[in-house]
Amino acid sequence: MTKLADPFADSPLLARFAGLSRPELEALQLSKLRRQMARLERTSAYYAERLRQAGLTAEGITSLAQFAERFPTSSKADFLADQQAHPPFGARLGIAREQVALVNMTGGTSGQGQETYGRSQRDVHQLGYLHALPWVMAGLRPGDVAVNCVPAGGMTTGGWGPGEGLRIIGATAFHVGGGLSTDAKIDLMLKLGGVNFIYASTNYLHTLTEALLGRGITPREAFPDMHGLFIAAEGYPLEWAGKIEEHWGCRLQEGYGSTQCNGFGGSTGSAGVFGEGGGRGLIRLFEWETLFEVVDPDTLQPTASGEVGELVATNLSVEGSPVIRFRTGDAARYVSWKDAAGGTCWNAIEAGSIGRFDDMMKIRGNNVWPTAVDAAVFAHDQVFDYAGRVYTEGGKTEIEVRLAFADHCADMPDEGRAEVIASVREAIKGRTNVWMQVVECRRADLPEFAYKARRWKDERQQGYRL
Amino acid sequence: MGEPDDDAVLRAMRTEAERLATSGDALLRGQYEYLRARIDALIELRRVSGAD
Repeated sequence: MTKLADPFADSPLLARFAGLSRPELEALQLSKLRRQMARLERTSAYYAERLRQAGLTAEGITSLAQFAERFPTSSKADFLADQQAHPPFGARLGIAREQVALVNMTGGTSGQGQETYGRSQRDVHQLGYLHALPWVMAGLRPGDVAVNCVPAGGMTTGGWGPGEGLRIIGATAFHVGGGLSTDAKIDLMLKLGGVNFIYASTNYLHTLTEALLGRGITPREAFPDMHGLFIAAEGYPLEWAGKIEEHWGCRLQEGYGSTQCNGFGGSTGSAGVFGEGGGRGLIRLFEWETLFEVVDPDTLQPTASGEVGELVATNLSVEGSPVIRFRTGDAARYVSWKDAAGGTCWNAIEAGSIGRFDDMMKIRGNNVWPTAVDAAVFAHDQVFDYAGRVYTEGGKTEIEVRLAFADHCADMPDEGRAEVIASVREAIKGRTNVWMQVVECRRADLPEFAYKARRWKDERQQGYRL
Repeated sequence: MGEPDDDAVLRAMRTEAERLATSGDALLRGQYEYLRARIDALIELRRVSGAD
């Protein structure tokens, strides 16, 4: 496997951030926070009101702890209500309307509504920087051929950030997401004369790899110059990550990012998704750009290192539509910098297991996370993909998992298929404490996702219709 | 500030951006080149004379 250049040796600026002591980093955060709040006190009626509610002024912010204790959080619902009252950006907009250079909206996959973000010219550069930062750390360099599998353009941050990031790195970018079928993407990649880097959602890297193998193409042989695979947006089992690295012959990296972070808020750097000892690796947070808290979602008290909590984000320099103590709803295992070996003072979250608090399904008294079922199913490389459905029948909750086999299992006898299905069922029970019905289906019967997969449907409420 | 001054400012910025673009910092080099290219574009799109 290609050894990656040390990003800290290649970037004196990055080395300076890595060399900060924890008190130095927190002093930088506090300084940026005070400047941010002083600006918003003047320019954003929404945040000025929240400062007032907290009994604070920007000048009166004395510590990060005091700010976290007193400044109220905001939620998606708060932002949607603000937008409705003050369309289109809400009173939280921190710049004059005519200074908005780019509009981004969240994807709408929650079903609650889409948040609208106005970006200033400065924010657009930062949007690119916060994509370039993890990719440079992952080894991407000027002139490298990069394939971006995330649909480009449109309204989402994920549609614009990669293009900006690849441009300011100086990589040769092919934005193949959305417009081309998977087979067409593969045909194009094979004609490029070398590919060095792929950016894709977890789900799509799986689809692409599976399609290559299905065509009898071994990725590491077809793309011997590949030195980086970078995924985001979804969790995965480590067994899958190991197989991906084996198939492609290069390191798999992961980033945590969002519209609210204006790009990536952290990444595995150059270390990959495996930690020492072969367990899950760490996503180290870019805390000098985004102030992260990890809290208990019920009490909002800080989560202890090693525990799962909700990420709360504060942009320290975003001008247009900054988020200040925004409850992301993202569930992550927090690892304090003290417990994160690696030499920096950056706090971290566990790679590969980020989920959503609002995706959690309560099934027969158990908290079931789609990521847990993903981990159980995709630990079996015989499985291409699956879809889950929770429904009510005869007053009982039933759960159905429909899975399609991978192309390389086309000739597998019925007994073998039955064994895989039984194994998947056991694995799901092991990870969720819930027995689910697992059945085979055709690949064509499963929905396709170019970006974030939405594999689960909860139809229980339909069962209660009279 | 009149238009001729804008040209002079851009030329000065171009010289500084050129200096930055020789940075050996992998994270910043592309961003400095991007900055230089933006200034180049502004200088070029303001040209109204064939004289160098």
